[in-house]
Amino acid sequence: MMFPDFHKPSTTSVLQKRSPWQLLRTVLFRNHADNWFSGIISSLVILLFACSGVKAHAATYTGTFSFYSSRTLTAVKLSELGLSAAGKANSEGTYTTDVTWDGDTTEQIMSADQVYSSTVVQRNNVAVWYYTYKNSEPLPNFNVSYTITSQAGNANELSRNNDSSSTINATITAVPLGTPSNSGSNKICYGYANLTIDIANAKKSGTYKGTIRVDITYI
Amino acid sequence: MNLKTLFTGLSLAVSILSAGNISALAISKSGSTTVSIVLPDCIILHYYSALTLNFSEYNDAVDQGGSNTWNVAWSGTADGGSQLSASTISQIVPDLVTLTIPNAWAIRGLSPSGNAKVTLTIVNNTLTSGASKITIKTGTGDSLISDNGGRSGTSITTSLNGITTTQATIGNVKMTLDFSQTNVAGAHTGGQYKITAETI
Repeated sequence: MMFPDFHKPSTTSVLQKRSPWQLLRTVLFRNHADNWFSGIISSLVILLFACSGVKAHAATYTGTFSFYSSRTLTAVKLSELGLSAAGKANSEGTYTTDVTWDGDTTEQIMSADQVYSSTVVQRNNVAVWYYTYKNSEPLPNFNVSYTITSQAGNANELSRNNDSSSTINATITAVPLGTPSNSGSNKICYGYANLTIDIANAKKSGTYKGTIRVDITYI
Repeated sequence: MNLKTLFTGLSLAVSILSAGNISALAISKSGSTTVSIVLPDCIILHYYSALTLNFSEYNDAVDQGGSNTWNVAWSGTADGGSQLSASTISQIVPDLVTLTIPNAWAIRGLSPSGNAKVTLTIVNNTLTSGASKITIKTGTGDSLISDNGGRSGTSITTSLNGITTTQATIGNVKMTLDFSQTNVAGAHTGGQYKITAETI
């Protein structure tokens, strides 16, 4: 079996002196003028290359992506809300009312003074995915976007586990990729995100869940 | 068209297709991660540390009705007719007064069920001023708490809607005061009730 001439370094050297059109004609036409079988082979080779254009490019980056199936964030602490204990009794001062002998009273409005300092907690640098690649390869230029949805599919929410009547707001932002870490002959690049959680709408304690979706594009 | 022309055309087409692929090399990957976080139980009870009830002054002239005929001697003694007695004086000021103190407490917070248990306990049922006493009645239905959702009792299960002030559940205290042993005006002090709120 004869292989196309352009596999030979010497021939390649000659081809490099020609224009692209001349090169194409040489490869496809002249070099196979006397051997139609070689023409078929070369066409098939090019066809294979064409059909696997993406794969051919992907071969530049042979690393693998891994996505964490679940992430359990550190539970919200009372101290993060400005509370020192789970139970707090807060005096609103003195209640003074006039009373008639029929038992009628005058109403005093309950001010319910603010007791906690914040309803917002932050969970930073949550590892969501990582890319493992060979030391010899460059790190692709990733474009990463994150979205977060509740179990009911509502954006920017987490819902109480199996109870969508209670939700909390959650926003997610990407953290710029840091320096990859070494792992033997490989490197690992982690994708982190920051979550801002506001529990102001929560009606119950317990576990709240949602889904982070990661979309990564690179060239 | 001979084979050479055919393959040339094929190769050119393939080359064009290849060029098209090269211009669309962006690669996409997507993944999903389940994320969870736990919120703690917490409950905040708002209460008043002092309650002052200012009862209205009461004065009235009560016509006990009927004309009575008295026999009066020149010595000044008199008899006949009817005399005022405890049994004949009309009850104008009641011995028992039941009153409701609106907005006397509020709760907010988080619990597993979204509810809380709120209980009223009368710690000291006597208000005194010397020998004069006002008693907070503790019998069934005499003293209890209620929420604005219509639940009432000495212990109720009510909503715990969240931790913000706008989500607070506000409630009332109902008391029945017994003035049957009250014999002086002025401040009577010493009564005490306690409200307990707990997550459930």
